[in-house]
Amino acid sequence: MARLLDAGAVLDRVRRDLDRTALRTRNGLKYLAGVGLPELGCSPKELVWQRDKVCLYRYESDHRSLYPPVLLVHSLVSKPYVLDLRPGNSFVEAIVGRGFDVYAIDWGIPDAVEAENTFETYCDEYLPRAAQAVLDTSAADELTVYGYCFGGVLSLLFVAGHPELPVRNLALMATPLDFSELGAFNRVLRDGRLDVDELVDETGNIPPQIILDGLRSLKATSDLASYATLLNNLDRSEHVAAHQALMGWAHDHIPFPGACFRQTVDWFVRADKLVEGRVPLGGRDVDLGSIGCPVLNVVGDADHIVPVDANAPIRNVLPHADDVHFPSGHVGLIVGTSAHKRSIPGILDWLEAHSDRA
Amino acid sequence: MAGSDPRWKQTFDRLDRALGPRVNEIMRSDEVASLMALAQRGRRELEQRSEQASRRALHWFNLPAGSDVNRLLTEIAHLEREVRDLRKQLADRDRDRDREPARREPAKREPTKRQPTKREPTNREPTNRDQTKGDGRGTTARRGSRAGQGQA
Repeated sequence: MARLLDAGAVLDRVRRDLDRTALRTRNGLKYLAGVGLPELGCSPKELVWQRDKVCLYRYESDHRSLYPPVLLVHSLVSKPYVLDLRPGNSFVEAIVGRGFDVYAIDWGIPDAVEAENTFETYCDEYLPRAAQAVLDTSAADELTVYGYCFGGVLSLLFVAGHPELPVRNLALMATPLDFSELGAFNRVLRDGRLDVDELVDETGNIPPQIILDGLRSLKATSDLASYATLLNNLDRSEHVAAHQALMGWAHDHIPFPGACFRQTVDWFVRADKLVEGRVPLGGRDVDLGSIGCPVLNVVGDADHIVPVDANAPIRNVLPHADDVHFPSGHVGLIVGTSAHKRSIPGILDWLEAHSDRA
Repeated sequence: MAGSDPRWKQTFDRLDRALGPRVNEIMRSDEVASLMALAQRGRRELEQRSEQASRRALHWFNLPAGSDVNRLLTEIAHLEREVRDLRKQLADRDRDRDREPARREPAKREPTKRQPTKREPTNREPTNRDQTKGDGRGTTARRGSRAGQGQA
């Protein structure tokens, strides 16, 4: 009898292993073929404003209970759907769920026409108008501006450069100020070993591959470790889908307008305008220290793209900013289990504490 | 979890912990940065020489080269940008003129409980707005009728 039981247990185990192997093979083939890709950016939204390629979306909600509305400002080098990656793993979903009226800017994909876009284009033309569109659409008198990564830089310049606009709160997440801490790529630009003209392509923009190579150089083993983890978890379809979503986004960069890149190199890489707190925007000296509204500064202690030291000067530029650190990486601040347990609730608590019940 | 990982994964993780920080440190070093710059310069130089050679060959047969097309595309992009900027200036001027009589004072309020006010939609014709595609008509919000929607 014991032998029969043993045989049964062995058969069960063999069956389980075979099923697991079949699942691993199926998931592996799907991954390699690029089929069955998870749906991304699923939160329902509507286009409420557009200027050139720049679109402003408002996320739908049945329970907007907090005021003022929040305007999410993303970076110029990647696509904004990371803020709304997948159902159940979405920063936008969390903010909307908390009761905020949420808007997000999509800068579009630059081509030759956008090559001449400068910081003035984004901070003096698009952002003020987008902010006004938020106020008009929500019938609001104030708004909260929330910038992520390079979007935080744009937000800083925009808010400081337009004191006439009723910005109630400013939130910055993984925002670099000291570009000398951003890795070797910045060093070669800083000391002239590489010039911007050697990087722009025929459209006048910085190709996405250059940006990706620069980011890869910050942690060269990151991709390899990620694929090893994927291989180990091929039998977990949810893990594979999450990996596809995140790695897909991480490799889905967009061209960076050449004129804006030149300014970035001149102002922030070769000079330290953000560290000094004064930026020559649109022919005027914009004083970042003049920002008087409450500021939230979110930092990921394990962020290798914008390390802690790259963000540190904010304590001098905006001494009244509320510094909040989380043990997360650059994207881990808003994506993943840890984000939804720690950083996102912390961020939302601050936003709610600086908002009113509508 | 690590204990239940297969042997190859445990080995990989051990190697990653041991060598990963060193590899990353080397990749972030000045020497590698110089190599990257050199590689980029070399790549650009190769592209330019290849382009020069192919351009000479194509021009010999009175055919346009890729660089000729790129030059034209750059000119077109420049013109498109100028037209777009002019169109935006006109649209902004029209919008500012429309808003002038209806401009409201910015509300001075204490941060207290509020109800979102309901505003009647302004009754005005949509003006010719920036649009990178389609017929040049402005893009408006798809649902409802709210004031100020879709105007660039």
